[in-house]
Amino acid sequence: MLRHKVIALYKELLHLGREYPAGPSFFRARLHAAFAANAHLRDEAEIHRAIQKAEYVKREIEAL
Amino acid sequence: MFRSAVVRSLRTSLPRAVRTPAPFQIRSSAAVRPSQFAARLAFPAVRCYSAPAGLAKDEVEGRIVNLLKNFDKVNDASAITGSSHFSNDLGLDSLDTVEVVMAIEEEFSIEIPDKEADAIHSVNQAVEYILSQPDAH
Repeated sequence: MLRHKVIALYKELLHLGREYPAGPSFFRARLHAAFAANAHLRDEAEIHRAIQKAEYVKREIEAL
Repeated sequence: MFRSAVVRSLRTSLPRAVRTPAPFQIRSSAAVRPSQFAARLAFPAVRCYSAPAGLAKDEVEGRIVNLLKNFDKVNDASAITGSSHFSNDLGLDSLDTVEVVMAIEEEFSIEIPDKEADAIHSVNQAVEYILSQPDAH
């Protein structure tokens, strides 16, 4: 369930990143690194925290 | 000037043109029509515009392989075949797979639901999924 949520977030962020000023490939590399860095998380609370952070980043990008 | 000349010439020529061949036309059309209908019904390959395009398996596979070749995270482009597994053969992680599936969605202008997208791990599975979708292009 959480996995799907994370993947959906990843997709949304990828879509948003297409208009990123530094270029979509730059954005994609950074996004991939950020998600991969949290790939080891197994504790649900920690994953929720990471999802919250991603949501925050998403809002920041939308406001850009 | 020109228009009025055309109208005038039509007006003078039309009654004559219509009157003389009229009986002949009726006779001939009655004779010709049945065969015309038969010809049209016998024609086998009538396809309506709303019918599915029907993608060939080779074409789908070729397009997916091409798409993977353009994907910069694939280390070894020569390793891409119709049966490659995204993570085992091409060295992609799960996030890359999500990106590949998104690219496939765009390529064939369809939307793959999250659940089915999560089950696509190889070129084979992607080809099968596309072939099972009637509105893939």
